[in-house]
Amino acid sequence: MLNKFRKAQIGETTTWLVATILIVVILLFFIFGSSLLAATKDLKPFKNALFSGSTFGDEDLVLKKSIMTYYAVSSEDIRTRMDFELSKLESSGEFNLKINETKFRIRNDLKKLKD
Amino acid sequence: MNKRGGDKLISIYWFIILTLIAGGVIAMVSIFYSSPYDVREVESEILGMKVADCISPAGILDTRLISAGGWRPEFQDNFLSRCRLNFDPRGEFDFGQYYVGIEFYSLNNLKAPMFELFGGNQNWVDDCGIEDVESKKLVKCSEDNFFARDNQEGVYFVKILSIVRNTERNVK
Repeated sequence: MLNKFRKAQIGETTTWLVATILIVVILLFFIFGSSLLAATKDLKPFKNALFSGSTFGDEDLVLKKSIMTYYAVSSEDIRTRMDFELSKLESSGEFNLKINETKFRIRNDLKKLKD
Repeated sequence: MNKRGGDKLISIYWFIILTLIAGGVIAMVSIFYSSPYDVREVESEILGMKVADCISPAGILDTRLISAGGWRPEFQDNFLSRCRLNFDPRGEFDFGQYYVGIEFYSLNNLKAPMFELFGGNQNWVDDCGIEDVESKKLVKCSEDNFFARDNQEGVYFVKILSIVRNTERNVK
């Protein structure tokens, strides 16, 4: 009778022991997972939103400055040189917007202002 | 009597498990949130844009910087405060975490700058472009290139190099 009780006690203790070990292992696994997740924190997915027109008032301010200068200059020679340098910068991935489209948009805006 | 003792033991066991799980959750949350976002790249780009806007609002160079085709070196003296930038060190062992360098080129010679401005800690310039395993602990640099004109017909190519270090706040 006593032996039977002991066996039952051993069985129950083993169950709890295994359950405890399992809980600890699962916890450690999740802690490790959260440290892996923490390492993937990156601003890149939000970069477009951060530099968007709604945040900065305008998109690609630097390119727009160049194009404003381009239209403010009357010398064709200077414009040709600027075109050459701007297309070099564009091919190196310097700008977020396309030069020709931005030029077209700014030219239209300037025309509207003049009218 | 025995049953009561067993219940007590089980209660203690549950209490320990509860504490363990609570500790685990706290550890997970603190590990995730104590790891900072590395904002240096974005910060350096914003810094470059801010400087570009300061020296050349609407594509025309500030008349305090260039007037009648002549550069005015005194702009350098108050360059940072004029652009509303504060690069002051934050503590005793902080030697300045930022740098901004601006080079102005003539369209006829894009190799040698005709005028330069800078502000912040120049020691970080050499760290730009280093790519190795530990490079994320070095500085983040960004370059902005654009054309600007003076209040006459002069057109200049402007290169802005902006650097942010701030490693301790951004990399764990």
